[in-house]
Amino acid sequence: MSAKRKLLSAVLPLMIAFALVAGAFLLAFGGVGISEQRLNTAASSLSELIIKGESVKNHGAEHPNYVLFCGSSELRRFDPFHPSVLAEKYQRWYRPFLLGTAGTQSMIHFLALQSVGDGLSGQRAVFIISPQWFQDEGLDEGSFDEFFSPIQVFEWICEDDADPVSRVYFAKRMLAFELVRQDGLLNGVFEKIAAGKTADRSEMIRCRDRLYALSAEDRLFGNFFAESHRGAIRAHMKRLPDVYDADRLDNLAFQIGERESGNNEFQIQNRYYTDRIKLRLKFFKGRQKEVSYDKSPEYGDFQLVLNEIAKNKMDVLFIIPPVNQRWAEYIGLSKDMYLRFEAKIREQLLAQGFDRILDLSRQGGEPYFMQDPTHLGWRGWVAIDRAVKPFLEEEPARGPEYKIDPYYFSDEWCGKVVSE
Amino acid sequence: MIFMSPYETPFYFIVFGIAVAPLGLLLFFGKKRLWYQCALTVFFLYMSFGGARYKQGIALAAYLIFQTALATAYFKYRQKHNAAPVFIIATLLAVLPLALVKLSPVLSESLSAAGFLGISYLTFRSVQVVVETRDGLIKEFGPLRYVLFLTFFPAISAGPIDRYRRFSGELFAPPGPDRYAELVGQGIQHIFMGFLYNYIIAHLLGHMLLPLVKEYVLSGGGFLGILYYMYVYSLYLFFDFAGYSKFAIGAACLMGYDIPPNFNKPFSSGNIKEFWNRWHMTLSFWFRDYVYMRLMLFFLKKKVFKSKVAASNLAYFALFLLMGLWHGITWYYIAYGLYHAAMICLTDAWLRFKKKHKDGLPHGRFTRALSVVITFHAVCAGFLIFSGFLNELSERM
Amino acid sequence: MMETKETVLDILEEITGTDEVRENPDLDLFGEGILDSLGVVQFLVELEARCGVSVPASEFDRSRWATPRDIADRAAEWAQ
Repeated sequence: MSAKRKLLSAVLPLMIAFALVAGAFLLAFGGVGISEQRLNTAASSLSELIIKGESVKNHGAEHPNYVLFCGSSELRRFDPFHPSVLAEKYQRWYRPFLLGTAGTQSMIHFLALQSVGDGLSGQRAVFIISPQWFQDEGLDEGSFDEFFSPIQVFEWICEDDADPVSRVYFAKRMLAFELVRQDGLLNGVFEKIAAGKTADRSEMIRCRDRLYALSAEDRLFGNFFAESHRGAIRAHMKRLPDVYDADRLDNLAFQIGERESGNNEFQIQNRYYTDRIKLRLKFFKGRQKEVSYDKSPEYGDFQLVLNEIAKNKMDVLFIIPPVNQRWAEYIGLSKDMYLRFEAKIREQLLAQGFDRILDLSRQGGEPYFMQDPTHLGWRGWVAIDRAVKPFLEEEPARGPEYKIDPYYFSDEWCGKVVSE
Repeated sequence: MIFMSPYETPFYFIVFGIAVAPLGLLLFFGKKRLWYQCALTVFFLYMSFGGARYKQGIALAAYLIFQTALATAYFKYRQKHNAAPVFIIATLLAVLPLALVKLSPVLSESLSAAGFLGISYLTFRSVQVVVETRDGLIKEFGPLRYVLFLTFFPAISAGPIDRYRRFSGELFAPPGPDRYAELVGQGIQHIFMGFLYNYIIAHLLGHMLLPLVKEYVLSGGGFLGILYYMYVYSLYLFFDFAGYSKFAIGAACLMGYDIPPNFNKPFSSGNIKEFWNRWHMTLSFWFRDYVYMRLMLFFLKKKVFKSKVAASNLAYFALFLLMGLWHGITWYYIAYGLYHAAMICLTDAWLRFKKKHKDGLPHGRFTRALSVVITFHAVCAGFLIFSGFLNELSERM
Repeated sequence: MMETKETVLDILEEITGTDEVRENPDLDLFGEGILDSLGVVQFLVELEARCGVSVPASEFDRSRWATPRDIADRAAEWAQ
C-alpha cells in the first residue's frame, strides 16, 4: 500500500464518523418524537436523566394525562399504596409523572420546572417537601454535580425573564458551586448577573450556541434512560382490592406494614433495617442530636420554586411529611426543632397564598406510616392519597392568587429561627 | 485564550488536531519540523500553565532553567572526569526540586510554590539523563533537545516516561511518509480507545458508581461493601490512567513519535512481578533500572550481603518505599509501598521454590487461571490501601 | 570475540541453572521467566569480573538483549 493510501485509510473513518455525528445533530433539530408507551415508562422511571433532560420531562409535564409529582427519595419507595400504583389500579384520569430522586432538592426542582416554561401554565401538581433538605449547608456540592443540567441553566440565561431579586439570588447561588465556577462562560455570566448587570452580547451568543448544541444532544439522547419500575408497579397492583375504599386500603396498609417490618422496634421495613442499620445500630444512637433544620439556604432555593409556581399560576398541593418518630427518638433528632421547621415552611407558604397544604408533620408516631427513618410508605401513602384524590379528581381546577414576597430570598429569612 | 490541562475536555482534542495538522503535513512530505514543534510546545505549555495557573508556569520555567543548566554542566564535566561524588551530587540536585515540593507538607507550605502539574514526570526524565551521562551512554547533548525531551507536551503531566536516547533519535530522524501514515492510524486508534477508557468507562466507574458504593459502605455496608469498593476503585484506576496514557501515546503518534507503552493488560498477570511489568510500565522500568539494578550492582560488587536473596529483598523494599513516598508522605502510600515490597519478596521466594520442585507441582490452564485470580485480588487489595478509603473509613467510625 | 560469547553462555547457564540457554539460542529469556532483574545484575557483575567488559545497567534494554544469542552479540560488541 502506498503511503497516501495508508494515510487515507487512517483518516477517512474519522472523517466519516464526524460527518455522521454532525448529520445526526442536524437531523435532531427537526425533533425526535417519543411514544406514549415510552412516556408511560418515563413517568415512573425516576432516572436522573429525566430530571436533568428536557424533551421527555417537558413532554410529560405538558401532557394532559400526567400530573407532576415532585419530591426526592420517597418517590422511589414503591409499594401497593404508592401514587403511581393507585392511579393505575383505579384507572384515574391522571398518571403521576414522578420528578426527583435522592438528592433532588429545591434548586434542582426549580431548574427542572423553569425549563418546562409555558407548558406548566395553569397545571396542577403535587410537591413533597423533605425536611432533610433544610440542613445547614442546603444542597451539597455532590448532589449538585450529580443533577446539574447545563441545558437548563443555559435556558434560564437565554430567557432571562426573572424578576430582579430572584435573578440576583439565583446567580449568587450558582456561583456557590464549584462546577459552575469552573465553567469560564457560566462563571463570567453569573458574576455579571449577581452584580445586577446583564451578560455581554458576545457571551449571550456563546450561551445560545451552547444551548443549541445541548438541545440537539437532548433530543437525540434524552430518550436513552434505562431505569423502569413498570414491573414493580404491575406487581403491586395485584395486591390491591378491585374497588377503591380509602379505609379498606388503610387497613391493608396496616397489615402489610406490620408484616414487612417485624424484625425491629422502629417499624422500619425489614430489608432496609437489615441492610443499613442492624450492624451499626449503636452508631446511630443519639447521632442526630445536633442536626437542625432551622437555618438553611434551602429556604431561599425553595422560594425559587414558589416563584416559578406563581409565575405559571399552577395549582399545587404541598405535602409536609413527618419523620419516623420511633427512630427520631433513638437518634436524638429534636422534636421541637422539627416542629419549628414545620412552622417556618408553613409560614413561607401561607403568607404568600400557597394554602393547599397537606401537613402530616404530627403523624410520625402513627403505626406503619413511614417505611424507614425518613420515607413515607404504606399508611403514609394512603394518607397522601386521601388528599391527592379529591384535589385531582373532585375539585375543579382553580386560578390561585399568590402574593410573592422577595423577603423570602433574604439571608434574614433563611437564617431566622421561627418558633412553633 | 482558553486555558486547560492536557486531555481535560474533548475540546482539547479539537485544538490539538488543528494545531498538529500542519506538523502532520510537514512530516508526510518529509520536511524538517523542528521549528514548528518548538512553536507547538510553547503554545500548549501556555495553554496548560497560563491564565489562572500562571504561578505553575513560572515554577515550570524556573525548573527547566535549573535542570538544563545542571544537565549541561554535568555533561561537560563528564567528558573529562568521572568522580562518583560529583555524580551523586548531580543526581541529588536533579531530585531536589521534586523532593522540596513533596516534603512541603512536612517542612514548609511555601515550598509547594515550586510545584507544577507533572513535576514528578519531568524529574524522572532529568534523573535518567544524569545517570546515563554518567554511564557514558549519552554521547550527544544539547540544551534545546533536552528541553524538548522534558517538555514533550503530550506526555508532560503523567507520562509515559520516555528515554532520552530514544526520543532524541526520533527528534532528529523523523519517520518517512510511509511510517508516518502508519503512526497516524495507530494514533487515532489510541486516542479513541482513550475516549472509551477514560471518558466513558472510567467516568461511569469513578463518578457514577464509586460515590454510590462509598455511600453504601459508609452507611454500614460491612465487609462486602469494602470488597465492592475495592473492585470498583481498582478498575476505575486502571481505566482512568490507561485511558490517559492512550491519549498521550496517540497524541505522540500524530506528532510522529512512537513513545513506549504504559499498560499491557495488567490484570492478566500471573504474579506480582509480572504485574509490575504490565502496569504503569515506564514508571516501574524507571525504578527497576535506576533504583533496583543500581542498588543491586552496588551490593553485589561490594559484596555487602552474603546472600543475594537478602540483597534483592532489601533493594525491593528500598524501591517500593521510594515509590510510596513519591506518591505522597501519607501513611497509606507508604503502607502501599511496603505491601508491594512484601508481595514481591514472597513472589520471588515462591518462584525459587517452584523452580526447585518443578516436577512435583501441577502446571496447566487451571493453575494459570488460579494465579491470575489470586494476583488480581492481591493487586486490588494494594489499591484499596492506596485509595486512602480505609483511612477515611476509620476516621468516620 | 568467540571467547566472550562462550563466557557469556557459561555465565547465563550458571545464573539460570538450566542448559536450555545453550541448546536454544533464541529462547525468550524474560518472557519465559528464566531471567529477571536480579539475574541481569548478576550477569553484569560476572561479565565484568570474568571478561573485564563493563556494560551499564541502563544499557540493558530487554528488547535488544532478549535471547542468549542477543546477549552474546551485544556483549561481544561492548568487548570491542
